[in-house]
Amino acid sequence: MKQASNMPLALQRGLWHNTSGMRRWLFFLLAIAGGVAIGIFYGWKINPVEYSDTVPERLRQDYRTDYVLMVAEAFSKDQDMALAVERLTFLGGKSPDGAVIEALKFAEQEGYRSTDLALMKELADEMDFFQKVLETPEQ
Amino acid sequence: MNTEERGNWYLITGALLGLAIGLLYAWVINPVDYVDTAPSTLKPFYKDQYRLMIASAYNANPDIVRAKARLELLGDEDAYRAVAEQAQNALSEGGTPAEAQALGKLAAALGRDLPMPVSTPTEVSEEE
Repeated sequence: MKQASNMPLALQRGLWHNTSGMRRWLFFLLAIAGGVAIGIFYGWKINPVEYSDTVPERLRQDYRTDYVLMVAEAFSKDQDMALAVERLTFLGGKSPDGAVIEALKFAEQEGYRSTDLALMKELADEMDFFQKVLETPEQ
Repeated sequence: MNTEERGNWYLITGALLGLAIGLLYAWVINPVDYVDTAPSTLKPFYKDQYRLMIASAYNANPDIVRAKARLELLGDEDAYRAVAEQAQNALSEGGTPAEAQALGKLAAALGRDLPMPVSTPTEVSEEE
């Protein structure tokens, strides 16, 4: 009797010796597994969670590049580096100059117009220049 | 009740239980991660900043076709109205006069392209 109480409940009740009971358990578990599979398929493929409040950091590279181009266009007129850097922080993630370099690479790969490339190049060069000035120790 | 007499309800119970677990996993625990999003999905605050950037770029390079294409990305029902409203609220919401001016300039350019109301010709009778 004492020995029996140490046995798993299913064995105590002779469930695993009962073929019909075993089969029911097996089908029950298979039904759960099938349900999980259907649930995941529905939740990931058919009706996935939709994001409507995303952040700029998640924007696709072509949109990020166009944003950098807009900053470059504005910079070509106002020549305000502080404002350009502030605008570039909108993209989050990498440093502003990193975002410009990444955008420039993408634009070159995708064959953007030469005028647009020139604007982005000008912004990248000016940022590089300003960074070097800031890094130069005062004497 | 005999096991055989209970029917197959346990299978439906198992499938529903599994379905609930699957949906919980797919929607809550590990939902689809969107990494390459479009500007139309941005939070309203970021959409405003994006719109302002479009206006600033237009201010520097007055290419209305390009500005319109960019505004379309934001998915506004009425792009003109969205820009005009933002231009009106710019100063009261802490924007600079330059930002308000850029938005106003873009709104004016978009307004010029709106279809004009059709007027029906009326006969003018000349009275002597």
